[in-house]
Amino acid sequence: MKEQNILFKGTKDGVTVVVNDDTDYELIKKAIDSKVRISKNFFKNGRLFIDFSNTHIDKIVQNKIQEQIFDDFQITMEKVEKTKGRMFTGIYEGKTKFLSGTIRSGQHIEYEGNIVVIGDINAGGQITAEGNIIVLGSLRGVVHAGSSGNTKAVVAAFSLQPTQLRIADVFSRAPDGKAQKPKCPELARVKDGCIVIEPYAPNKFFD
Amino acid sequence: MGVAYVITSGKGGVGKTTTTANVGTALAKLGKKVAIVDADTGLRNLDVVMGLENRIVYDLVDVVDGICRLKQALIRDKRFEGLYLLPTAQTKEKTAVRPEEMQKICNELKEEFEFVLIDCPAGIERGFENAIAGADKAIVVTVPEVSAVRDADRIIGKLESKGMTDHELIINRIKIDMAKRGDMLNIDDMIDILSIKLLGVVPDDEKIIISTNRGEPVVNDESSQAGRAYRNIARRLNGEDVPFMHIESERSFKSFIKKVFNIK
Repeated sequence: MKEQNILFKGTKDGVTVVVNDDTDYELIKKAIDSKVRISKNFFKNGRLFIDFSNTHIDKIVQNKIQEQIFDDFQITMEKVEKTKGRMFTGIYEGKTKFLSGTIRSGQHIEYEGNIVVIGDINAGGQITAEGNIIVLGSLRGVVHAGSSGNTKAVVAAFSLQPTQLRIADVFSRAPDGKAQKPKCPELARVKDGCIVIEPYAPNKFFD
Repeated sequence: MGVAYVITSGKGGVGKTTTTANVGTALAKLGKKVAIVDADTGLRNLDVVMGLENRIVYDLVDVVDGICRLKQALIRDKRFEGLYLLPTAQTKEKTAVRPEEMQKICNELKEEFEFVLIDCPAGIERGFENAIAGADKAIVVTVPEVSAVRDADRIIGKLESKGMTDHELIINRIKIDMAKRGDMLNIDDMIDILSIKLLGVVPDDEKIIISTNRGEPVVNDESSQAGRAYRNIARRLNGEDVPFMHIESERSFKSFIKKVFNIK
């Protein structure tokens, strides 16, 4: 049932294994195992790539899969890396990933664009986006917006209660002492080098 | 064909073994054929809590290694008709069992038993992988503490990533006075964070410690609130619609008097 989430695509450089969704490590390994076993020599001469960009799979697990394939078949499976170095500027109009459902503790999602979560981000969960991060729910985990250096990126949530909030290279956390639950949706952005939190519609609320 | 439930939590010490023992016993008392399986190889406890430690001859690892048949390792509990325990080894470690082997055993058990309850060890490593391998549904146990809820969330995420989306929550060791004072996480907040259906709430009860030490499941004790909660959970698993218990504060009469006379 979950095997449809692992697709093999032929490209001019070789074969790319595209992993969709949060498939388990064991299932990915089994799928690659069976495919490579059949056509081992083909893969020895061509290149084998793996693309995790549509998943929330942790980097450590990604590396584990690569190592396992190398141990089993002596084939170096290269990760499809996105081009690094350029700062993402599409925070007003730009590519956006939409996620539906709760991001649970231990899950880490990265994307080179904006991210919209229709759900909560639980404490222990982490989101890193090169653009904005918008949460239609409670934000209780760690978020990093503008991760490629854009200080204009924002973080907004219905209930903004992150453990840690980062925009570009500015880090911040809630003030010490008993934190109050936010009364309205809020927006966090960088102003004069530090992170400020405002109500989502500043004119509606007078503090 | 029976159903296999894995009772897991992530966090240790929240009451997985106690829950497995008591819910298993309660289901047997309802007339069901139940097998409870200890998946905590190396640190087995289910046999102690059930009071069946001295009847262990063969265990789960012996079955996996082919030293005995599954039927020989199952221990029939003479106190409760239809209840069987599959203990695990104390002298081996979790690497002695593979997930595929566990799955095979659970499938064999499901052919004979209506309910198979698997007691999962704490953690997210091999022990956890073994325990969930043979399960159809999951029961997540937690306590109203922040660290426990964090771990439960992680576990639910892991279950979902393995395609196991049929899971329910048991909140154990609720201290109703602390919850009223706001010193303990309240049930609604926990459900809000974990986004999971609530199967049952078990109050903190001194009688649990006595029962686990003696090896007599607390569901047998009519006066125990925790026992009653576990019996309700068993009835819900059996398809009955049981309203959630209104947990009485132990000091409720005293506090009522205080309120009437306006004493702090």
